[in-house]
Amino acid sequence: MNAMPDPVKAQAAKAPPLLEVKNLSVRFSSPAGEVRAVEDVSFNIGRGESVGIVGESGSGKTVTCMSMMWLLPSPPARYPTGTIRFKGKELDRHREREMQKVRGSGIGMVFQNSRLSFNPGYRIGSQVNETLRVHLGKEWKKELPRVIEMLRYCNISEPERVLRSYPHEVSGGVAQRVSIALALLIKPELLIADEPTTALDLLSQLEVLRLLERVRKETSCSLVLVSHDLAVVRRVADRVIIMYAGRVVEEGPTADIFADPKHPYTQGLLASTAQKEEGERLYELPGHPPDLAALPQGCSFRPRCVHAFAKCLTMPELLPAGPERVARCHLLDAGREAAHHG
Amino acid sequence: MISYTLKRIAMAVPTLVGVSLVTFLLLRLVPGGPVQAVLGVASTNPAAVAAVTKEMGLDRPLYEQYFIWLGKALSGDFGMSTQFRVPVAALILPKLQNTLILTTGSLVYAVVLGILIGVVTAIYHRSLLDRALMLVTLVGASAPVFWVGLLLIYLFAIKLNWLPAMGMSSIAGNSGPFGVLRYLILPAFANSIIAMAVIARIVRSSMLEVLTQPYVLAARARGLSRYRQVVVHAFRNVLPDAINITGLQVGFLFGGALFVEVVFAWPGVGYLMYSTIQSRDYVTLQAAILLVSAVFVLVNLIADVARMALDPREARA
Repeated sequence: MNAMPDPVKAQAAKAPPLLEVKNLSVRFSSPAGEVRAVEDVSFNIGRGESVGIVGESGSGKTVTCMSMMWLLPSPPARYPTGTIRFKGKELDRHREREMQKVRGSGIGMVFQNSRLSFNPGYRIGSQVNETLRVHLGKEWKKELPRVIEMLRYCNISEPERVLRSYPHEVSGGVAQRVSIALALLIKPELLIADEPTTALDLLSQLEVLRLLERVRKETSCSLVLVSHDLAVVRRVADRVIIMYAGRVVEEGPTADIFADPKHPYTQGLLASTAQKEEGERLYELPGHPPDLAALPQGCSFRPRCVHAFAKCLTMPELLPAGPERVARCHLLDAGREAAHHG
Repeated sequence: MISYTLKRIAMAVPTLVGVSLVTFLLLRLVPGGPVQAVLGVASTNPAAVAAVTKEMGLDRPLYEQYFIWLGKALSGDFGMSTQFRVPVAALILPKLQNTLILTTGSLVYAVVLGILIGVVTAIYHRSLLDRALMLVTLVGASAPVFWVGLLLIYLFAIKLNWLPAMGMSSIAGNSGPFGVLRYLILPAFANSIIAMAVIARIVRSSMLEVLTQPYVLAARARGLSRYRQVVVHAFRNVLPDAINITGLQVGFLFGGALFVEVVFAWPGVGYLMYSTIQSRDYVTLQAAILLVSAVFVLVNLIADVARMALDPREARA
């Protein structure tokens, strides 16, 4: 049922994908009731592939990413269902020791605000060294020349000075590129970047974006790029996953989705960011994302959807929507003629 | 950092001046006035009164009296104890040493156990262990120290006969400095309980906050062990709070010593103050209050500077 597209399909047919997320559900308790942050999410990440995950805040994209290496402390997070397979081997979230080996060295992660993801009490260099020591053991000192090299690769002009600095002494853009460098140092096979450009000014955004493009082209590292910004994802991702209210609503090759979005939510997202003539009002998606503790009946997007009809009171499945594409919408079903999308 | 230290020292000076003023006035406010205080309550000999009045400069204006007294105090001359008929300085300093031993012992208990309880309860937040430990510290901190002291004496000295009930062996005595430790265990523990509870609670809430910080999650994402996440990364940022509250507690441990020394007959300044109050030896009491206050101010100063030195964000602010 999961028509998972893969650019290196012939190879993927034999080898398992780098990362498989299957039926992942994540819930939190809140005073307002149970928050369904992620519901039954499945997708694969191929080797060397670059995948964008797009959605508004609260769509579950960050929680999904963190769950890919079982990063969220449980409790408070609860996982009623879900398996993660990395290189064909299931990651057991209860085996903290094994997870520690995967984290950083198998799967690296870069966060939204990198200045906050460095400990304010230690110099950046000592935190880099610590990470090397943990993953490389006694041999870590041999790798020190590579640190400078990697920082230069990530466009840090004065690597020695940055290493001697405390996190609050460098700019957000520098901190972000240092954290990408630090993640790449351990040579992960998958790099997850969670809103890596959101907290940055435009110039730093561009620098980080160029760096991510470079990583995609020049290394074999797979990339998961989480963003609410379609333009960012469009530049870097081969394939896009659109999330809404904790579920995957559309998935497919980037170019195809941008050319012809199938799900009304994706259509709204694209329309709201499209370039317009001067003076023309930008399209705005009506309404707000639903409360994850009190989801509407049926399709979560129904209350905001301009095409909603009776059938939308039941939750649609992910349906085939073209080559290597799926979308979670009843419009794609038998009654295709009833669709007014576009 | 240096400018902060100097600023902080400059700020301590007015406090010390205020303390010296209040202590100075204490003797003037005693019933019967300073002459009676110096001579002891019973003395009415006119010749002695005249001699003391002249010696203390009581015929001069009050501000002059203050500076004369302050000058003497700074050079270590606190006058004669009316109770023991020896110079106050010679009387207090050995007692102050004993009090510092007791305070240090209490501090070790308070810091080690307080931080341990704080960190453990934060890591096992909302567990049964967390609730139980928080309840125990609450009860311990609420119980009066003299009652806890008696309980400890009853259990460990009388029932189990493990430790001496009271007193202290001389450091220079047969059993040496380590012999003192046996005497120190019970009074230091009794004195530490409140500070321990306060430190535990501050460390716990600070730790709970720090554990939710992005850099702890990022450390986890880099594959660091739980130990490194908690001890190296989280605790590093709990330290300024822990040092801060500990610095404040040292002052209170000093104050607590007053009660504990009486319960355990520990020969320190507190026990001395207790006996000076009973015998109305105001000259000695005055000196004791001045010294204890000065130590209090000094300890808070050291704690503030240490906190700054440990937090690079504040050190550069």
